[in-house]
Amino acid sequence: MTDLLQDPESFLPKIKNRWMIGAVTADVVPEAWQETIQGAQGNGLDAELAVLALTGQLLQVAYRPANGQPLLVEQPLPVLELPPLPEKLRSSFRRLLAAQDGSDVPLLTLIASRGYTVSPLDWMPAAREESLPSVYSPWLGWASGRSSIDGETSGVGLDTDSWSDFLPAERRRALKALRIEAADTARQLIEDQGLREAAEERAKIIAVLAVGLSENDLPLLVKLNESDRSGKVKSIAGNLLARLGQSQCSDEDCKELADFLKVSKKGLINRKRQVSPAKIKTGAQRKRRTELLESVPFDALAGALKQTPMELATEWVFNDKDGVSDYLTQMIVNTAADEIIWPFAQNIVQRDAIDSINDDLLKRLKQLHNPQINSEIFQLVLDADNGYFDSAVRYLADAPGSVTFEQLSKTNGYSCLLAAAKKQAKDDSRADEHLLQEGLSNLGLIATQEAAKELLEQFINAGMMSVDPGLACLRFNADLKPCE
Amino acid sequence: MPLTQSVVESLAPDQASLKAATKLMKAGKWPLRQSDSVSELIWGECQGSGSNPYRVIVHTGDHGYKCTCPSRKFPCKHSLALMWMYADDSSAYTAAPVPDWVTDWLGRRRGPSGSAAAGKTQGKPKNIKAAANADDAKEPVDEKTLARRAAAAEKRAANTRKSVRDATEELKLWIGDQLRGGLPQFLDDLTDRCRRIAARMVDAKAAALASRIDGIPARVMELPAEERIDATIAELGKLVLLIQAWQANPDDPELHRSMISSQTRDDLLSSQTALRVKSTFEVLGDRITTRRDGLVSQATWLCNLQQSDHRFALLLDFYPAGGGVKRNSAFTAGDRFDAELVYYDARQPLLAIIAEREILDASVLPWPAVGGHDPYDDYVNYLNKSPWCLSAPMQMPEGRLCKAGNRRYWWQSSDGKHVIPLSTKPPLAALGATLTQAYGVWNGWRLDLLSAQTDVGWLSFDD
Repeated sequence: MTDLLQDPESFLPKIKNRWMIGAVTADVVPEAWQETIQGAQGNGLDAELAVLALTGQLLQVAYRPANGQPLLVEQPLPVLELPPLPEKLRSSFRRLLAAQDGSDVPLLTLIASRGYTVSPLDWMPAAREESLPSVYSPWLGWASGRSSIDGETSGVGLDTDSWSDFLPAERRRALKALRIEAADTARQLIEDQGLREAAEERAKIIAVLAVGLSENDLPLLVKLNESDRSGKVKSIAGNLLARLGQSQCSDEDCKELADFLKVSKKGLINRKRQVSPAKIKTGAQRKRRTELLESVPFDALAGALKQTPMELATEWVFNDKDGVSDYLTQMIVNTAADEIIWPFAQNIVQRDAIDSINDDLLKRLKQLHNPQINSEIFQLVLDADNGYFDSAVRYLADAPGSVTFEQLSKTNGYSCLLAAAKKQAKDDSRADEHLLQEGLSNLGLIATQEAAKELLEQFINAGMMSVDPGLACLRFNADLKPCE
Repeated sequence: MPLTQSVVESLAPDQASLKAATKLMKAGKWPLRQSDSVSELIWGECQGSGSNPYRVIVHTGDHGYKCTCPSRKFPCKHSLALMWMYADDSSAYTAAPVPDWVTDWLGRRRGPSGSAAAGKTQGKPKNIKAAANADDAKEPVDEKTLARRAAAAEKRAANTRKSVRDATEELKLWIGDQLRGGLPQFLDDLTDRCRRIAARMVDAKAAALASRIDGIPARVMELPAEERIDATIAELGKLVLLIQAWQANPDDPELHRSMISSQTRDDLLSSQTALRVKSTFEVLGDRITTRRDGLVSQATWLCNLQQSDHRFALLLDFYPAGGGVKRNSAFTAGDRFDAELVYYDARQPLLAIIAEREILDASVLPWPAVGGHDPYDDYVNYLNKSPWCLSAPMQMPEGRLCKAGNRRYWWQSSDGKHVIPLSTKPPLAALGATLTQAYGVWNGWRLDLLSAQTDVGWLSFDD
C-alpha cells in the first residue's frame, strides 16, 4: 500500500481532472498502480472502479487537512477572583439557568453574593452583557476580544490616562462611583473623554450624570442638548435639564396635554383632589396624548395643570386602562427632580398600583442613596406583592439573598403562595401553577440561606414534594453556603 | 392510592402488555431500581431490546409514568414491569436521592391525567394472574419441521444473496456511469441520483447498503464546495471496496451487516464466538440524527477506561421519527458503569450491545493516557482493516481549539504538529481552555468532538 501512496501530487490532479470531464483515467494512473488495477480482472469498468477505490483511499490516508488561514488561538480564559461553585451544585445551577428564561443576572448575582462564580463550561457572558456582577468583568473582556483592567480590583483608578484601559461597562461603573465621591471630577472626565465616544456609548455615559445631578452640570447639559450630533444624547441631556427645572418645551404642548387630563375632587366631607386622564373620543386623540406624554417634562405639565410637581405626583389616581399612568411614571422617572420620586412611589403603593413600579423607577429610588427610603420602599414592595415577588427581585438586583424569613412570612405574597401550594396538594389543581413557579423561584433569589431553608420546610409541609421542580431555586439557595 | 397489583392490572393497556411485562421481571434485566419514599417516586433502568437501556419512572402516588422506550403503548411493558415488581416487593428498590433525569421529568409533566388515575379499567378486561402464569412453552417441533424450516431459511438466504449480487453489479455500472457523466454533473443531481439507486438496493434486499447510499448527499453537501469532489470520490471509492469485499465473501458477518442487515440482539447474545469485553466504561457522548428513511439513529460512544485493546464501543439504536415521541437518552455524557459488552463481529470491533451492566456510584479511574501520537493514525488503522468504514473514534492529546477565518474551527495539538478541522462551533469557553485530552469522531473530513478534559473541568460537546 505504501508504494501506492508515493508522490500523489504527480498524478492525483490528473485523475481528478479526468473524472471532472467524464473521461477515463487509464493513461494517467501511476506505474505503481498498474499491477493492482490489472488484478481487477475484468473490463474497463472494473479497472476504472479500482482506480476510484485507490484514489478514495489515497485522499483519506495520504493527506492531512491543512488550515488555509492562520489559526487564531484565544487568550487563556482569565481566572476569576471568586472560586467556582462546588461541584455538587453545578447540575442544579444548569437546570435553574435553563429555567430562568434568559434573565440569568439575578441568579448569578446571588451566587456572587455568597462568594462564588460559575464554571465557564456552564455559563459564559455575551460580550454585551452589562448588569452582571463585576467579578465577571475579566470574562466580559475576554468574550469581547480584549483584556480587562478592572479599576476596582487592580487598584488602577479611572482618569484621563486609564480611560481607554477600561471596558465600557466597567468604565461606567467606575464613573458612577466617581460621581458619588467627586461629582465635578467625574463630569470633567466625561467632558474630556466621554464626548469622544461613539453615539450609543456617549448616551450611556451622559446618563451617568443622573448620579449626583446638580446645577454645576447645567453648562455641559445645555451644550449637549443644543449641539450634540446624536438625538439620543440630546434627549437624555434634555431630561436631565428638566430634572434641574430647566425644561425646554413649548407652552402649547403643555397646555394641550393638560387638556387631556382632569383635576377633580372626590369624597363627601373631606374632599380630596385627584388627577386622572380625561375621556377621549378618538384614536387620533389617544395617539396625540401619547406623543405628548413622551415629550412634555413633568414640571411643565404640573405648571399647565396649575399644580406644583409634588401635588401632581401625589394626586395621580392610577385607575386608567390606557397606560397613561405608565407613561406618567416614565415621565417622572425621566424628568422629575429627586424630591418627587419618593412621594410618587408612596402614592403608587397607597393606590395599590404596584405594577406601575417599573425597573427605571426603582433605579431612580436607589439613586437617592437614602437607606431609610431604600428600606421603606422595599418594605412597601414586599407588602404590596401578590405572590410573584418579581418587583422584589428587581429591587434587590444588587443585593439578592438578603431577605429574612421574618420579613417574608409577614407578607401577603407569602400567604398567597402558601395557600396556592396547599390547594395544589389537596386537589391537584394546576390553576396556580404559574404563580407557584414564578413566586417560589423569585423567593429563592431574594431569601437568605436560612430563610430559604425555612421556606423549603414550610412549602413541603404545605404538601409540595421535596423534589418539586418549583422548589429548585429555594433548594439551591439553601444549599449554597457562603464561601469561607 | 398505593401501587398494588390490581392498579397495575387496571393501568395495563391490554393483556399482551401484562404478559410482555412478566418477561422483564428479572433482577438481571434491571441494573438500577431505586425509590424515594418522600416524593413517592420509583425509577429504574431496564436493558430492553435496544442498545441503550430504557429509563423508567413511576409516581407511586398518582401512578404517573414515563419510559424512554419508543413503544406506543401507554404504559409500556417496562413501566408495567417496574410497577409490578414494586407492588410485589418494594424492598428490592434501594432508597436513593432523586436523580437529575427524574427531576427533569417532574419539571415537564403536567400532573396526573384521567387515564393515569388508578381504578379506571381501560378496554378489555385484563388479568394479572393469567399473565403471570402464562405458559410460554411452545408446541414441540418435530425434526422434519425443523429441517423444512432450515431449508426454507437457506433458500431465502440464497435468494437474497443472488438478488444483492445482481444489485451490486448494477451499482458498479451506476458508479461507472457517474464517473463517465462527470463528477460536477453528479454533484448537481446528487440527492435524486442517490435516492433512485438506493431505492433499487432496497428492492434487492440490500437495506444497509441502501441506507449508506441514501446518506451520501448529506455527508457530502455539509462540506464546503471545494471539498465536495474529493468527498464524493472517497464515498464512491469506499462503496466499490465494500461491494468487492462482499462479492468475494458474502458470508462475512461484518460485510453482511454493511450490505444487508444486522444480526439480531438475541443472536448476538447467544453467540459463542462473539467478542465479550468486561470493563469500566465512560459515556463520551450521544449523537441523535434523523435519517432520510424516517428513522432516528441514536449513537452512543463509550470509552473503555481499563483496556486499550478495545478502547471504544458504539451503541447504536434506531427508532421511528415523529409521532410526538421525544426520546431522551438513557445515558448522559460522563456516566460511568461496569459492563460486559458484546461486540458485533468485525475486523476492528466497535459496534456493540450491553449484555450486563452494573451502575457505579463513583469511579476514580482517570482517562487512559494518550501520548503525543498523531490522532489521524487512529483513523488510518481503521481504514487499513476496514477500508470502507466511514468514521472512527479519535483520541487527541493536549491541544487548543482555534478559529480560522470566518466560522471555521480547528483543534491544534499543543506542540503545533497536528491540526484537525471541527464539524461544529465549540462552546465559547472551550476556546479559552486547554484541552488536556479529548475524544471525538473523525469522518475523514471533520472531527465531531464528544468530550474533553480541560484546565477548567470536564467538558461535554453534546447539544
